[in-house]
Amino acid sequence: MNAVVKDIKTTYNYILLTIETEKIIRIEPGQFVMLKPKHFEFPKPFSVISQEGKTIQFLIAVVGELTAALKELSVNDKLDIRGAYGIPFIQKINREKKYILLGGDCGSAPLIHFATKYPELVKEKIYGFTTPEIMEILNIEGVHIDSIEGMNLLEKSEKLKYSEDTAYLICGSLNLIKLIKDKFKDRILYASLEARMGCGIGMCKGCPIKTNNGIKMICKDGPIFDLSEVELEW
Amino acid sequence: MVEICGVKFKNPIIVASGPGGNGKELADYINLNNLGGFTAKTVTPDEKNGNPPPRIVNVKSGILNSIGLQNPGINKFLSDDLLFLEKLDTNIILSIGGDTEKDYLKLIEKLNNSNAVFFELNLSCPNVGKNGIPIGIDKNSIFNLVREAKRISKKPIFVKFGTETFLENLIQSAVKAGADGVTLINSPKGMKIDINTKSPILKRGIGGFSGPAIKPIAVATVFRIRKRFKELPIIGMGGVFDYKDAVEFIMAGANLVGIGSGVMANPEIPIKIINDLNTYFEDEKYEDILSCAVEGYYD
Repeated sequence: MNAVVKDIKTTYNYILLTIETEKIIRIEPGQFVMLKPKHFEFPKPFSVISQEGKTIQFLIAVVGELTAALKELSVNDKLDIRGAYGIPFIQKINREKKYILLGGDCGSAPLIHFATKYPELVKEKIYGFTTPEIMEILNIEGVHIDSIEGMNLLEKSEKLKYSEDTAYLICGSLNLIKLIKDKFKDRILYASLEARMGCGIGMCKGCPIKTNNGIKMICKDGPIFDLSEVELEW
Repeated sequence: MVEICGVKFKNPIIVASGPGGNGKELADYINLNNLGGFTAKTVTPDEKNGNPPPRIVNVKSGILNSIGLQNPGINKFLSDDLLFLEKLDTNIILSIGGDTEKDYLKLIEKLNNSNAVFFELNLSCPNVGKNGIPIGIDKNSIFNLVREAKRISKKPIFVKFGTETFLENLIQSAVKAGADGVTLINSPKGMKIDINTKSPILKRGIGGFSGPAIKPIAVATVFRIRKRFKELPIIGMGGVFDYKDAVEFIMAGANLVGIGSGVMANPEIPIKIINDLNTYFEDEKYEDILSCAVEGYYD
């Protein structure tokens, strides 16, 4: 489907991209879309910060060729988009719990979406970034800057009050998720896993994860998983 | 309508083995019955978990994959995937893979009574034979395997090759042993290195390289094999993303055209290509889809 850039704000490392799609794509928090500039052949998966009607907003870290090309987009430029794919957070998490949202860098995007749509399920939110650069384009409650607070996301999360009705919803790098899994071994941890994907719909077998029930695909069976059910090492 | 090996295809576009899985997920996005054919993901005698991630890396005009033939194994394939595929109103091609000649023969025996139209021997997986020589690059191993496969198979046998050195000689061995056709090309090998971490991005380092970047290699391969084997049925593939790509393959000499990574990029691509191809041939007034092959060029 075609989409057009409505607004784009950039810093050196980040993009806040707002697009408008031809038709409404309903995206539940935790789902993702496959997105690419017109001159790329293969899309990549991106979670969204928000979706309302035909308007979708993304927070994207510039890490490779495709995201570098996204950074160069201007208003009215066209994109290809398809989706939404993946299982919404709300379908997998325990709705009896209140969630501490731990976002690592742009992994915060689906958590921001979740916090907007399901505020009643959110206990705390920490969207962790290393430097204040992100504040040039993202000004929301919950942004944590390591260099300002003098501690990183992990150290901050240890200081939060935990009770039996609390669970964690995490999204960020695999390394961050491993560290959190190690630190909070006995707690309920759900993580939205990031992966290099091919098709985004489960057929190409490009984004596997080992689970208690065999090999699953992050795009189709996730991206959210209960961390007690998956092996992060392979 | 295209007819090869006595099998009629409603159009020359098939989904290649691999990226489309075994069709179930793709069926949520396109009507598989509109395809000329669908090639199932390579099945092996035993279940394979596949390679560790990362398995996918995007590169300029292409994609690298290192799936490692993840599949449920023949028994689960028979009881689950094949039942789904056999209900489709399109031609099913069964891709089979293994480590030894015995593996391939076992798979043919198990799948012989299916309603699939062809077997495709995937000789591009790491099939290490008893002498430590991959089957797909050794003409004697190819000859022996194809001869035995033909002896027991109730279906035409296609052999899938990559861009091996002396490919004509390897194909000659397959043809001499009775191969009914060839599938060209399997993904050449590729690698991408992260210069920050100073290591390859794929966990296994090297993977299969596919996408538009390999199309000229694939078209040239089909062309040179057609030049040598004028009557041999050829399924051409490699970077087909639109109808013009498909026309190129047909002009180079392919009877059928496979869509591989294009399905990954956009699951709706095969149907768009089929529709655009129909329009193209109406405009070009070709009565027979093969009539645009550059027949006289080979003389």
